[in-house]
Amino acid sequence: MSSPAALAASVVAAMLCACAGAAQERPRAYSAPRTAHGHPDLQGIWQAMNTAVWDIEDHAAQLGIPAGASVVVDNEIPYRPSAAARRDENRRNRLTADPEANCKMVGVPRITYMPYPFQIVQTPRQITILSEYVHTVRNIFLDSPHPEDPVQRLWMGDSRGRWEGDTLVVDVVNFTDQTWLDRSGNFHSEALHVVERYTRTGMDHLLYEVTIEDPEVFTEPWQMRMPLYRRLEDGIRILEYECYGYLEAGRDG
Amino acid sequence: MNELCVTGTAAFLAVSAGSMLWASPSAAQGWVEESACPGNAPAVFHDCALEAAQAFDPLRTAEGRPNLEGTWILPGGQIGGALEDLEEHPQTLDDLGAPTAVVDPPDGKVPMQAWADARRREHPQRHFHHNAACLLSGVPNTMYHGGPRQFLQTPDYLVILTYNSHAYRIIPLDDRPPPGEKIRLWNGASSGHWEGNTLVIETTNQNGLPWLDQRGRFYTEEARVVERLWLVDHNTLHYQATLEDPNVFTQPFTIAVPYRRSTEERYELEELACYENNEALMAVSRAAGIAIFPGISAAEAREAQRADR
Repeated sequence: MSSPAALAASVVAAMLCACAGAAQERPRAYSAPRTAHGHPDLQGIWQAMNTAVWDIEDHAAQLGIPAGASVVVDNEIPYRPSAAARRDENRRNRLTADPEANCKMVGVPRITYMPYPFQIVQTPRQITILSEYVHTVRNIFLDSPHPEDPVQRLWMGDSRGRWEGDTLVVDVVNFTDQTWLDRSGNFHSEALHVVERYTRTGMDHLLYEVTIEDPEVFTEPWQMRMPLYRRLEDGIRILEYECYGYLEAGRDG
Repeated sequence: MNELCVTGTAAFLAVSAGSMLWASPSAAQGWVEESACPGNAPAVFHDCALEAAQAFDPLRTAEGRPNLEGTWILPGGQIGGALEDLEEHPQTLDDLGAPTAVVDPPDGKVPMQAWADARRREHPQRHFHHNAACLLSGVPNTMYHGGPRQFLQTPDYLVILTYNSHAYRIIPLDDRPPPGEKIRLWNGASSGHWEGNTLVIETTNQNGLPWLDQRGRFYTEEARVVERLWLVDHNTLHYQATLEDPNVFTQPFTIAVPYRRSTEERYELEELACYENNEALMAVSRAAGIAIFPGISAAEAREAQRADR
């Protein structure tokens, strides 16, 4: 690998690496295999393996909660002061107020680091992500704009994707303000704008990078970054976590 | 607006919530009418489809398989047809009415055992249809529930996305063995293979909780479902399902449903946040003592059979 493009890529990667700190490794020069229609192939069953679902920031262990390092780049979420107070209140009430505790859809990007597998399926015009958690579906429409006049706000937002080299870039807007970013009360408003980047870094790994922008809650955009791992078990399939079915059964109990 | 998925006592509860939960994007309901098999009555459609398929060479994927991709509409509309009642039923205040979806046995009746038929008649009075609680519909009900369906096809999978309850099915096409029998799923575990131009899907590992229709017809977790899908022409897809469950039925039976291609070429399935908007309906139902159908297990069914003799 010594083409000018590869050299340029590695120089850029080195610079970004230096900016983000040694722990934040950039994708190595890996060329993803292609689908039949020529797009980088992201298909498969994937899962995050970290503690972001509990808390996207650095956190010590508690009973039933593993300690974990932040997935937030620079480990600092730039809350506006009033929003930080709301986050603290969310955190105090998290056992009942967390949308996940009520079996609701958890929004983007939280669905990506839930402790459930998800499957990516690609067609030439659409990439669909099917999650085991409450059969959540994300349809990412390629090379098309967000609707100008959406009829309703969406729990999973409106996702539009494009390819930048080997990276799938997904722009997501039109969210509700009903979802959180983790079980620790980190949250957003309807003004949330998410940009996700999915890059294959090897046969069995994806790098997942997210930029979060929400001027009502944060003073500036901030980022999360984590690897996603391919589930390699023989015969692996997405099963079901029909959360509210179990909730109702408990009520009938 | 009378798009309900409950009948009997529970029906009125859903009236207020009905339009919100079950409203479907009307733009997606148009379908291509020109067809080698234009008749929508299942028996007529089924006979025609068997014949027409022999002469039709479908568009193929890169691997040479028939290409089933697209957005498919059930001409029964958002509700109605088999979803209300698998058998022939008239139009009423509560039903749109439809001919029977049962193509075998030829009498068009669901061959319920006597005890099971008596039991299912009570269900709509006491229980919610599971869809009113936004739960998954089960196989085959999820395939004739209303709303548009999108098929995504890759060399390894057929994925079926449905509008209602944003339910999906992921069908591996490698004919893989089912998961262990303790794994029970609302939509079961499916695996598919091609027999010529026909996609054959076998489903096991069901949980026995969904109904087959709003008349409370049910099956147990031991049910085995074999579905067969084939293109009749470019715009017409034949769907059939054979149910086998000796705990509930006197014999296997087969239903058929026509699928027709949406007139919208780039249809985008919208998010229907069903459960997220369902709290009021669930609270009223709970207060009225109407619970989600708890299922009749295979063991309970066999016990009922013995008692019935």
